[in-house]
Amino acid sequence: MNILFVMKHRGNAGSTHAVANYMRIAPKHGHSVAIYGTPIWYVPELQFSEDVQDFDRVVYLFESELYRIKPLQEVVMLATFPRPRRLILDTDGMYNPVVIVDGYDFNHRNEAERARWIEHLETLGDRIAQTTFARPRNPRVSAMTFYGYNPALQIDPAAAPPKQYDILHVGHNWWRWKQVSAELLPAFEQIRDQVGEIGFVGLWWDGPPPEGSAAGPEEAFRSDPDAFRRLRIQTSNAVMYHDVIQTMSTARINIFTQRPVLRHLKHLTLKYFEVFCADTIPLLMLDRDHAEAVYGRAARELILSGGVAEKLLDALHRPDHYRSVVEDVRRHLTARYSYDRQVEELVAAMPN
Amino acid sequence: MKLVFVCWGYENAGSMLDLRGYARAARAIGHEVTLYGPPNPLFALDYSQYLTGADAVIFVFEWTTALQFGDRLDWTRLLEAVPRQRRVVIDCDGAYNDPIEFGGDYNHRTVESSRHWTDVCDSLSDKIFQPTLRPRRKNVRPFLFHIYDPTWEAPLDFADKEFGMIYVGHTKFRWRGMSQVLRAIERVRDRVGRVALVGEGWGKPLDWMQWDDGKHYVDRDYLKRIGVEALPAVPYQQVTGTINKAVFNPVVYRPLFEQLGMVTCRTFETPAAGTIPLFLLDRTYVTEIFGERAMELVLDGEHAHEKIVDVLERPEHYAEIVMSIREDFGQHHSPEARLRELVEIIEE
Repeated sequence: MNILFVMKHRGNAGSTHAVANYMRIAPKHGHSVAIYGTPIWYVPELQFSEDVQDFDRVVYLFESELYRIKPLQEVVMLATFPRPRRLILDTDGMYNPVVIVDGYDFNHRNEAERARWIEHLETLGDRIAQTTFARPRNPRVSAMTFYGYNPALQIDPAAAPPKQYDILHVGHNWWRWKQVSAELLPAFEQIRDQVGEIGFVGLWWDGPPPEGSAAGPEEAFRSDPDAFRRLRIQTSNAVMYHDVIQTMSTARINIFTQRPVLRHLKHLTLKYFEVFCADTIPLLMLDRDHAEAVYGRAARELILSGGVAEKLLDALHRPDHYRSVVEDVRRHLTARYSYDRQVEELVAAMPN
Repeated sequence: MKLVFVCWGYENAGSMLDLRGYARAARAIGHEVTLYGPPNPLFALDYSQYLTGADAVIFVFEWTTALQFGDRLDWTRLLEAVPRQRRVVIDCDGAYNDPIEFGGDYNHRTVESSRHWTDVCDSLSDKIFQPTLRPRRKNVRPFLFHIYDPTWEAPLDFADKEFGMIYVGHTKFRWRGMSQVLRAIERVRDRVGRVALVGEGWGKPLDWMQWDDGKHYVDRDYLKRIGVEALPAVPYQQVTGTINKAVFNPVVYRPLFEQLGMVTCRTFETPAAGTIPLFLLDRTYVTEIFGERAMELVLDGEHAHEKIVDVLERPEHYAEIVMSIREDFGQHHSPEARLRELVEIIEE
């Protein structure tokens, strides 16, 4: 099966990296995967194509934007792939009722916005998959892991980059501030003199995007550069997807957060898996059940919930113990979420 | 039958008047015509995004096609509204061809652009038509699309004409033909009266025209020197009324359209107005479209200026030729005739 993804592709976002893994693994199973578009010089390993006739199925992958290609390109696309050959992949929980978590993060601003999404997705196709491990309530929707764990990307400690940080967070400041400010910063305050460098890698930790409200709700980008300065937290810009794991490996501990609405909807993201490829100790800001559902029982020890400061210090003081926990989780992930399995899952989900 | 036309129109360009004719004819013979898109009072046409009950979708493709002003779901809805065999593509600008360049005009700059356009049309339908008697590609059939509507006819009365000559049309690739007309006028300028060019870009270029690689070239100093007035574009409902203000109107096509033997809105609008059309067109084409007698209305060669003077001095003589054209057009190119032909195509 030859599968074409129609998606907003960004070098510093998770879905692009996941699709790159599909491109790599699919041929082993007799399939091929490409993204609709023209090649991008800085990511030569990504396969792009505009020859839609070379494909038998199309996946429309939507994140938090109703991405579309140019209207006349769309004509060719729609005619080439009749409805039964289209799969819609909803990675950000947009095909749902309006969900507002703790009066803060949300999938849709209001019912009108939701209605626009629902109409768009339902007009485009009949089959919708969400990247969640929860059972979707809507019978039209199926759950699909989609993101996978690639053991080949595990960083060998012997070849890992030098540890620049004790604690690192890799991810954009997109609906993260509430959790970071309420749970992490007070913990850092308590133990700041006992740990080395702390870093946040990603967009918007120093301030909101320059395009203002056009980029999204102001609340989503809230930050406090003064607090970061006071706590001697370094920030640096986002890295390309192929450098994420390497960057995570520059720290002894990586803190994993997820935007609240996706956590609430039990959506998976690529970061769930990348952080376990890195040469680091991932500490997870997830509920226990949630973490166990994805990572298995071993992950309980990696949960960063209550007693954050103590947990951080413990991980720094007993790295060997935590490394053995990480190895247990890796085995679980390899068994359950390999891209070989994900490719099969994707192909099986494609309308026949 | 409910026919939905897809035509991203402009108030002062394209085929809007034709579509009004189709809508009126449809009501008269028991069909229904709507246009796909959000309603716009300026167009005075039944625009709607409601496709329920559609029996056929007719894509009228012109240069405006990529300028979509509907919403994100237009194409999805349109493709699902009717099955493929009930879709018709009318390629009004000759874009469904290999790249062609003629007289500085062109349909595509690159092979890729031509291929893309071909893919778009092929994706929509097997029924692809062009408004020419001689399409170049084997899978394309002739359908002249533009109509002659006898309700447009104005009396051929030349007593009080405000202008000697008017041309209604935008500047796009028109200078080649128009400059020939003006050179002929220049030789007899004092006998022609007021001369006006009506449309975008004759008086001063619009901002975007400076980026268009000379498509809209006009020698405005020359226009001033020979006393030609440049007037702004008029809405499509006022086209025939404006044409009507002059004793004669030149019929000038884009070079590409000439080369492809296309008909345009103006092919049919000009004879309906109370004016004498003078053709800057290939003689064989004029005979085929306008009839044998229309050869007298061809403006070419060394003696073009003499023809202009003769038309101004003896408009009644030429009016008889126009009357014969009207009679023929009324029979063969009426909205009803076109609509019947279109319905047959749809039902094939």
